[in-house]
Amino acid sequence: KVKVSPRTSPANQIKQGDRKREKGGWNIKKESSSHLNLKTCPAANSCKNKPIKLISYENNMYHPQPVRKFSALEAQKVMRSVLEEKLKHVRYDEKAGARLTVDLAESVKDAVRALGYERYKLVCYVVLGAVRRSEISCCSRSVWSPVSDTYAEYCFKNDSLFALCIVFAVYYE
Amino acid sequence: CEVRFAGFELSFLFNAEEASDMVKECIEGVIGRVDYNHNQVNQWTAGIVEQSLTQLVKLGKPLKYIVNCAVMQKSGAGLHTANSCFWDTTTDGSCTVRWENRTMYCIVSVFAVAIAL
Repeated sequence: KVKVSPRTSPANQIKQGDRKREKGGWNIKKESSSHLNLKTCPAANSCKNKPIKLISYENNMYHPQPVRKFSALEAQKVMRSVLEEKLKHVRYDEKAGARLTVDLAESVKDAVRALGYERYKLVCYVVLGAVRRSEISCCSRSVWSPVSDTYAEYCFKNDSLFALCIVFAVYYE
Repeated sequence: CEVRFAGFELSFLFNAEEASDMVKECIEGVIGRVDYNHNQVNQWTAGIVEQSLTQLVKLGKPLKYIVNCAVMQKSGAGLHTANSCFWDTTTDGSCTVRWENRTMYCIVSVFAVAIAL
């Protein structure tokens, strides 16, 4: 028996059992084609006898653009009504201020959510403070898709307090 | 200032600690050693926000970012901020950094929202 020393890589290694001595020399046993996946075979598409399979998009989760774009104007109206209703006759109080701010943020978020924009994630940010002679400067920037994402803001002010509310609407692409 | 979190799950995509450290560096880089100045405050807030955003985007995560900065002069008045979010708590997250010096308060909030991949 002739021992074949493996010089090729394991993937290409031909097992001794694959060689059959036939008349005329050694022949490597050919692999059968039954294990080949005919769906991935490039020739399958050109075969006219095969039925064409239609691809359905029922489970497609990718919607790059929103069906109904978030309207900043509509959101601003809602925010205005919520803030005015909640803060009309309220005076600034340090102890109650923290609770009031959280309550406002949640109310505005719920109200904007009720507008029913699909696939929009919402971030509602509220800043509340006392009206004094000092100044406050607020700035925001974002990295998002300008086609689908936007923001709405409203600043409420009375004699004793101010409340700035911003809602960012980010589309879930 | 009181910030209340709506949920207790931490996002696996957004690392709040890392973002918080980056934002602190940006704040200190812009207003670390200065006193409140009415003429420059707009430049400062814009600078802090832009630098923070640039650093966050460099992390290369599939997130949209919103960065908000409020700078207030110290006058004895209190300031409250709150946020309420409707998102996926497993992928989205936020972090808020509070900073102050002798003459002013600075509050920076970062919101990170994931996109579907």
